[in-house]
Amino acid sequence: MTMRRGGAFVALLLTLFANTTPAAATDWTAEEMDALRSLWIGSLPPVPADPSNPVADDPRAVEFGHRLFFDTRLSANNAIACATCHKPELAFTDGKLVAEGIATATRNTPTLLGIAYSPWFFWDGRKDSLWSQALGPLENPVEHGMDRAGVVAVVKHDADYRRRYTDLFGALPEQSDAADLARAFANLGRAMAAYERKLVPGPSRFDRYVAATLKGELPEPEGRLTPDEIEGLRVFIADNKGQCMRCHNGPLLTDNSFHNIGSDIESVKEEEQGRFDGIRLALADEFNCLGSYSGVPVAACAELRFAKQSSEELLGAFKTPTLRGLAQTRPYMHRGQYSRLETAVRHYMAQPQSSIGKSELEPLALPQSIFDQIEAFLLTLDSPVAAPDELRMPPRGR
Amino acid sequence: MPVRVHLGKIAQARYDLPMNKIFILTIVFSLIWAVGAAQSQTARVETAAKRFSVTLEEPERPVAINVMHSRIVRITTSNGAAIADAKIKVDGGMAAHGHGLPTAPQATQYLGDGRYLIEGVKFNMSGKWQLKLSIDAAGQSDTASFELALK
Repeated sequence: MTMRRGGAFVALLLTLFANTTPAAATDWTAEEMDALRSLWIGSLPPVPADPSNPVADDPRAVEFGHRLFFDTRLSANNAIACATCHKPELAFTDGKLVAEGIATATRNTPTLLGIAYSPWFFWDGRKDSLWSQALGPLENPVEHGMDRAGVVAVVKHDADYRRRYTDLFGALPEQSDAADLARAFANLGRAMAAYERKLVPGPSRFDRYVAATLKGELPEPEGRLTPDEIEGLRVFIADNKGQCMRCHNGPLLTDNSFHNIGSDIESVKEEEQGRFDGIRLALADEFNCLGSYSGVPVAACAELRFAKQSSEELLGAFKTPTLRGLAQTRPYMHRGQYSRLETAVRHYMAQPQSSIGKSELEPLALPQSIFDQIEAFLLTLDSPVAAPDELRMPPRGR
Repeated sequence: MPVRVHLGKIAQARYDLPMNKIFILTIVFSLIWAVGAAQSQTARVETAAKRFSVTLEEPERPVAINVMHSRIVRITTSNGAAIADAKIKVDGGMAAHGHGLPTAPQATQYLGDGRYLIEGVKFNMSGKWQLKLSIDAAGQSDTASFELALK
């Protein structure tokens, strides 16, 4: 009896101790420290240059793009703007299963946090630049439902827009020559891309924890992780445990590549070929890096020229999403099939077979409770948008 | 297998001083980095049937994951004579995970002296990768395989 009571007392003490021990006391191995540093926001380089967008970092283009991003006149029903689906308050997502523009689209709206770091855009990577991506939804009948002539006309007939365009790109085309029109349309995409390049993630609680841990210091209260979060992190970074970093690596927790994880929806098989179709669409796109509107030499198009085109691995493969801002970007996966993070994380435990191609996931020998801890860790990646306040709301004067 | 930080004899005496700890950790990290870098340095292999000798040159900068880059290989006869007319196909992947390369690299240029530029190389996770070359030259075919450890 005494023994049992004593044991219970020790257990209670241990529990209290475990719950109050500062997180920096965690004994990370050198290998784990390397992994933490690699995921840390402090390891994020500056936004990569885009040679095909001469105004990518021009503050005037950021301002113009900001206005275009929130402008519902760029839609057939005057009600849809980019910001309709990419809502700043939801880490630039919409909280919906799949996007709803003029009509219902087929895929979940991805976050724009850190999007400028990706060489590929859309879930299937059918666009190879941020500016050409911005053009896609404008002409998609279920999103903005416009055509390029209509979009350019909005700019032409708005004195402020016309001036902003001319300052950046020169005169707008007066005649409806197809190539001139496409060039002006592409330029508007470039202004929108300049705005989107500003939507980079800032430090999350996880990053504050890592910053302190790398310095061998105890984290401040806003950088502390609970024992559960730390355990989840440990499993996340271990290749013999969670294997998460095989795809969710680097400071944005994505390799920006394409993987089949058995996330296909069998009932819509024709839309589930993923990257297999995406690379074909990218190669055929008039606005791609090798096209006549990109303005760059062939040498600048390595991603497109050396993209994998004919592998079975592309079937049913979708782009790895960033995990930053996860708390705000539900529902999850390319069709938004998981409404809660808990169920999304358990996808990796259930490991459903893919009905198209083959899932890359390997069985994880982990107890169920670990998945709760992984989920707890993922919620520490609560990155805010590091852009100035005014870029996170509709532009003034509209 | 996790590698525990091994402080060793030098460190033990001043283990309690944080500055020294940081210094030692820095050295340990540098050594780990150096080992990682060494594994992706110039490597020379004989092809499977020993028809050619192939050298994978060290990249100018250490290779990071998710970065598109180029590599240079030098192909010679087993006697060391440069081969100028080789047709090279590039393949590879991670045998341990059963997947291929994320991109489709190609030999795009002959640089002279048996050296070829391979463009479009990318590795999208850390770990052990294989880069495999199928070489056709002077009426002979053979394959060369390199192991690269990405950190």
